Amino acid sequence: MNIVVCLKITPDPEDLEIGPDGSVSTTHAEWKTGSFDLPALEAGVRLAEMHGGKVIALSAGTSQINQSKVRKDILSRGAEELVLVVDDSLKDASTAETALVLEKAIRKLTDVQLVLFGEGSADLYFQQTGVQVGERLGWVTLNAVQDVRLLENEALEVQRIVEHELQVLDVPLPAVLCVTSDICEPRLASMREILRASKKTVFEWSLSDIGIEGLTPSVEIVKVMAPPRASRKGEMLSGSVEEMVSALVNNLRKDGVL
Amino acid sequence: MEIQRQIFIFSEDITLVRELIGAAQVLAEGKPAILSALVIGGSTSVEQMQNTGVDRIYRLDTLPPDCLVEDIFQTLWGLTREIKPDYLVIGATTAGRLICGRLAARLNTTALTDIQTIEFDAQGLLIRHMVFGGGAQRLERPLRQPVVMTIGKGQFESQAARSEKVAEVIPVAFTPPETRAILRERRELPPVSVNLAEAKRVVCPGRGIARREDLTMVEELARSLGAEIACTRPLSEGLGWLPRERYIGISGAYIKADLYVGLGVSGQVQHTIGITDARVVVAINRDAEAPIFKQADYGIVADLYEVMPALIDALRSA
Ligand SMILES: Cc1cc2nc3c(=O)[nH]c(=O)nc-3n(C[C@H](O)[C@H](O)[C@H](O)COP(=O)(O)OP(=O)(O)OC[C@H]3O[C@@H](n4cnc5c(N)ncnc54)[C@H](O)[C@@H]3O)c2cc1C
Ligand SMILES: Nc1ncnc2c1ncn2[C@@H]1O[C@H](COP(=O)(O)O)[C@@H](O)[C@H]1O
Repeated sequence: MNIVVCLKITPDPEDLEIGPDGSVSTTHAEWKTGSFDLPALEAGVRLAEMHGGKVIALSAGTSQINQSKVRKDILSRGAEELVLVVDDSLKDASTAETALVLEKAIRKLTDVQLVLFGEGSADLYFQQTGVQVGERLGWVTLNAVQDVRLLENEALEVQRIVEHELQVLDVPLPAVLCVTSDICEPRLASMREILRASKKTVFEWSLSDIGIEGLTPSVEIVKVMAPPRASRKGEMLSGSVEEMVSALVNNLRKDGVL
Repeated sequence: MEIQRQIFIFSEDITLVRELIGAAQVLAEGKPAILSALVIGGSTSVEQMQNTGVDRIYRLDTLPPDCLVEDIFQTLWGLTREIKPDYLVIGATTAGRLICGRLAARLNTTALTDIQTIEFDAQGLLIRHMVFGGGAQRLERPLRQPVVMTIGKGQFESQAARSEKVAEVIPVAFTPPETRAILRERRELPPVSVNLAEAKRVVCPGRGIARREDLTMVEELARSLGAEIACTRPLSEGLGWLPRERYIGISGAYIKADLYVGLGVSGQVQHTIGITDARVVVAINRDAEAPIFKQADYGIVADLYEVMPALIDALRSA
């Protein structure tokens, strides 16, 4: 059985630049795989290591996702193949367009029984794409998945955390699971895996390769702006540690917060 | 006569219903609209929905015992086809997100999640919500009908006006899904140990804390300040040193404490968005360039392992 893991490659949110006018720019940001998607990849790789099968990583986006550093990073973490669906109309794609593209790409792959998604993408964090893909495929779909085990009879045992409750479920295959970011700790790639990564296959598909003639946007992005920030004193204390600490305590007392 | 707008709301969490109704009332733009709601449960749930402005309450008694609340999807879908709503407004719970996405996919439209504001201009609806984990806000216009959305917590409750209207109660039957997960077991998680939203003072260690044992020193500092312990997300998820309900930020708790003390916190926006409403912010970090200092009232550039004991002493002798 093949396991597909969907990963979003985005500008690093830590590199966001906020202009004096409140504008937001990602022009200088490094592109990388979302930190909440890597646990999904690790979970998929562990299942494949235990039960056999192959992990195929899948990502859709503009040509900016097709960078050798990003490709190597994904393939050195245990994915056997990487599929990139690249089209510049995917810039600012809403979850509906992304879900359609991922669905069609998954349908083109053979023998897929399980598709894993991360908790949320690093740039949108809408926690929507996975459940939408699941519905489009018509497979059993769950979010907030904390643990996955493959049972003998080709079904999954899944643990889920939903608000203040833990659920244990039997999930028939094929299935789509959106896993939490603490399902497991992503591995650090070994030297051997890094070397092996460059020999693995990367497929680059266009939208027409997966039978999509064009994407019509379902939302218009009108404006992006920095959120309002509280105004702060910004007082940097100076001196020795003792002096700074005593100045701090005095200030806090003056402010009436102690 | 103008066609009345149809608005359909659903949340399995009855405590969210008021804010959904608040959002629905904004969506009605002051014009007459028909507001329908699907409710799971008995007469108490229905009572809570009465006099809220809802016109029709579709009531589903209970779900089969081994079903998830998400399995209501098929029933909800049936009602959606019948009502043909312009807007579907869903509570932003885990189940709500799942249901919202499935509805959006089946309707071939997008889902607008965790909406913070709703407004209208000449061309119609505009909504605002956060992207980049709170790093930016985005104003968006949905281009397809119907519009499926979840509502950010605490945003619209005040908009829900009382109404004299008595809703018509319509019983509905459960439509089972064709294939589904079987719920084998459910366990209550241990009760949450803290409500950070109510804390007066908060001490927040970040990844600047090198070892789990060092949290005892943080605890001591918290005691001398009369503060609750919070943390950044990596200390909770990932390291697992502190429970989830203790991390502050976009995906965690929002505080409105008098005092926040960050210890080895870099100050990424996904975290600091949760301290916007804190009165006084103190940052202790050995990196003078750490972004947290731009968002602090008082900053100390030093090793937290030197500052903590000194601060405990200073508070004790004071
Ligand atoms: C979509 C999304 C949602 C997120 N949601 C959240 C959220 O809700 N909450 C959250 O907290 N994070 C969240 N994050 C993660 C967030 O972006 C940051 O990665 C995280 O907050 C950083 O935690 P930190 O400050 O503890 O660690 P780091 O960024 O690693 O910072 C550690 C700091 O400690 C300082 N330091 C190290 N040693 C010492 C020492 N001895 N003395 C003094 N200072 C020292 C360093 O200079 C550094 O600045 C989210 C991220 C994304 C992409
Ligand atoms: N463009 C994309 N390519 C591949 N996977 C994606 C893409 N966008 C989102 N995902 C997956 O869907 C999850 C939820 O994304 P989101 O709905 O944007 O929060 C992410 O954690 C990824 O696993």
